Amino acid sequence: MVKKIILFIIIIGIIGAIVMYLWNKPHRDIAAAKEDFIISATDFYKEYSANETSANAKYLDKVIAVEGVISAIELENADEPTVALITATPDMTVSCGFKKELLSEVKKLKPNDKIKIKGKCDGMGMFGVVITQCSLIK
Amino acid sequence: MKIKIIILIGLFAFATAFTIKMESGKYLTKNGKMSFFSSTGIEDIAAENNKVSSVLDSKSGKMVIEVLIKSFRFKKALMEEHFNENYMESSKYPKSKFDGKIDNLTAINFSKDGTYKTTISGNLTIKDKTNPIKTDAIITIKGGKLNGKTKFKILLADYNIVIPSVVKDKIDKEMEITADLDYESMK
Repeated sequence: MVKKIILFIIIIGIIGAIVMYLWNKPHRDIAAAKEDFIISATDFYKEYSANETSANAKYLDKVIAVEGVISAIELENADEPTVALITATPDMTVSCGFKKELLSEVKKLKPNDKIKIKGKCDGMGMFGVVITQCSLIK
Repeated sequence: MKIKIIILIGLFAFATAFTIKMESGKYLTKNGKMSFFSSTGIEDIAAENNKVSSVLDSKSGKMVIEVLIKSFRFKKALMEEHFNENYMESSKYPKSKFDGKIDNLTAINFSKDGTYKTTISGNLTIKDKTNPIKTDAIITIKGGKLNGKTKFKILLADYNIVIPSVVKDKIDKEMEITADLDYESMK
């Protein structure tokens, strides 16, 4: 009987631990993840503008390493410092959103710098492709 | 004399046309803020998106706002996963859109600093459903820049967002959406 009760408590404990783990499971660490694709900002946007649906099927939620030239550093939203990369289409960019903790790193960058950024693909907005949870690849 | 006047008028017209062409009257943001909130019996559902894009035309009052669903960040990873996979089906419907206008455009002086209360109305598309909405908004003009703020509620069922019956009583049927968009003048 005692054995059964102990076993029961252990099982409840294990189930509880699993539930707690799932409930509090950590966010995907994009910076530590291996990239699924390495692509230039120009090609990335070109592929998206050619066929958004198929580009979404290929890239959404994937970890992308994007290589390109900085067109602008956008700091107007303090919660997500952004680096925009030039594409072949004027006014369209690959917009890379960083966590606010990385503000000081983003501030060191300048337009026309060549750069490689890793982030998660969120899709195409009004002004180009958007990746978030970005980090710099050195 | 007459010729001089005609030339002057011509020059004036040319200058005016040129000025109008210089000032597009359009404002844009690429990194606007939008969040939503819903209280539940278990834990509040809250998320924030800092990559909202929008264009606002101060001449016609027309505005478009686009939101990528996958740019919403939650505190809890599990909640973010459920939001994307079960509720929003964000791989199938990656973006939401508002297409509308400022209702009382004439009351807003875009060239003068000030705060204006207004309403905006238009069509809101979430997933594959589009519904007309009308909401209060506050527009602030300061130093050539524009800030737009609004807060409104949507009924989840209006947008085909299905709550599983297990948690039906615990999740609010409404969701409060807040937007805070800092626009810059478009060159």
